[in-house]
Amino acid sequence: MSGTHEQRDDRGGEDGTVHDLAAAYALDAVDDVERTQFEAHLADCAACRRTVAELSEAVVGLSEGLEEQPPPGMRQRVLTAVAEEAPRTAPQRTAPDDQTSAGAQAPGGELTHLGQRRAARHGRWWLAAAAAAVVAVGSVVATQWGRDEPGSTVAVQEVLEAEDAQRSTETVNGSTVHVVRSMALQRTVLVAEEMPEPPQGQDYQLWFVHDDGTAVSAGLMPKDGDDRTEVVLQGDPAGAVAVGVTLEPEGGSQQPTSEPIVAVPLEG
Amino acid sequence: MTSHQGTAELAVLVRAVAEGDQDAFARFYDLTTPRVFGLVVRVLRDRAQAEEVTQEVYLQVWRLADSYDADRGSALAWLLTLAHRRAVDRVRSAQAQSDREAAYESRQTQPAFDSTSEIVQGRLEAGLLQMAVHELSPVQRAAIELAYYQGLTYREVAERLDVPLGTVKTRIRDGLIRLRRELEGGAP
Ligand SMILES: [Zn+2]
Repeated sequence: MSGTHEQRDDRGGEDGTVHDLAAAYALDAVDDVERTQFEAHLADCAACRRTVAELSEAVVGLSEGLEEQPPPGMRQRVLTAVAEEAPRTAPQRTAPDDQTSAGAQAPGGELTHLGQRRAARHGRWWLAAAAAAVVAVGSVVATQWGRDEPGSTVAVQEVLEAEDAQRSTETVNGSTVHVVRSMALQRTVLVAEEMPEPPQGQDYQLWFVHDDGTAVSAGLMPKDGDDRTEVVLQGDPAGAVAVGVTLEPEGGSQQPTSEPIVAVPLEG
Repeated sequence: MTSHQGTAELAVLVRAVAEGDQDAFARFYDLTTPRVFGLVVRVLRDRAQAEEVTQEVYLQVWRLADSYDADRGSALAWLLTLAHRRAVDRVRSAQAQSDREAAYESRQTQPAFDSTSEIVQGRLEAGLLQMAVHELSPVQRAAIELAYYQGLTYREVAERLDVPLGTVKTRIRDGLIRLRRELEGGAP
């Protein structure tokens, strides 16, 4: 049994039960896969929630006595960055079908968690991005893309250098995502900079988002380990008003199973 | 900051930050940065990288404040978990390559327990452990320090110490329970 992920096995055995992971989880000593699994378990197990809450306070003690003053310039940099983001993260109007995800509640720093925890904000945001974009470009995009013939291979570079290239950019969590499309070439390219590798067993999946909030897969982001990834979006972009990125189980999903990490509006 | 009053204030501030209150964010930053920066420096052992990570952590605080759930623990615990995960991510991505290269050689030349024996023998970090960590048994302490300060998963700790997974989980659990008792007993 050792060496495998046996968290779903509640019967015990050499490596114990799923509940035994509570302390390692509280200490942040589990890998991404186990963290995801255990957070799913936490949702159903009050005993483990209690244990994690208690032991987390013990973990807090582990950084007591290590205090160090950061360099003085950092404060202004952080406050400036926050002020720049403020309009986007300020409370927004709630979209009609806004729903609060029951994502994991424990604190987390990775995009997995970011994706889940931004649910409340970004569920709205995804739709808001789509709605704002459709006002500007809806009918134009529909007719332009309507005669698209999927499947022809256009090099990334051609799209990036196209005379009619339109660029939109969003930043999230230190990563930058550009979407560039050319009406003439009928192609869209996504360029991701400084995106962390997806957690083990997961892929970044790209989506064309439509004005009603539905998403159609545009393929997976290649895992090339580079700081900069360029990919031509697949599928039929007709009517799309934004490009979204979610974390999905390896190989991708038919429909998004997590909230978007980022959504880049396609602007007219 | 660890007093009861300080704990309550941090929770209130996080809720205000979730509403987009930048002044509350600044106050939260001032109250907590030395703690976050100290932990991140300890894990990364590199001040320049620790600065970057600390800045990223506070941007996450701004973005994720509405995910804080007081039922799951204190605001400080939430913050330090954000910081720890981010620091460990950095350690793992930075070390991945050199570790792979060093792994073979290290297995050839060093007994597995070498790197932890220092810890077991009680080489104290400056300023650290003026408190409950002393109360841990050496094996509990080794497991917890390897995991928390070096960013190893419990599986990696088991490998490093050459003990079964169950043993490591038990040491971590018992160690944290003991720490928890010490902290409760010693709280002002
Ligand atoms: Zn449980």
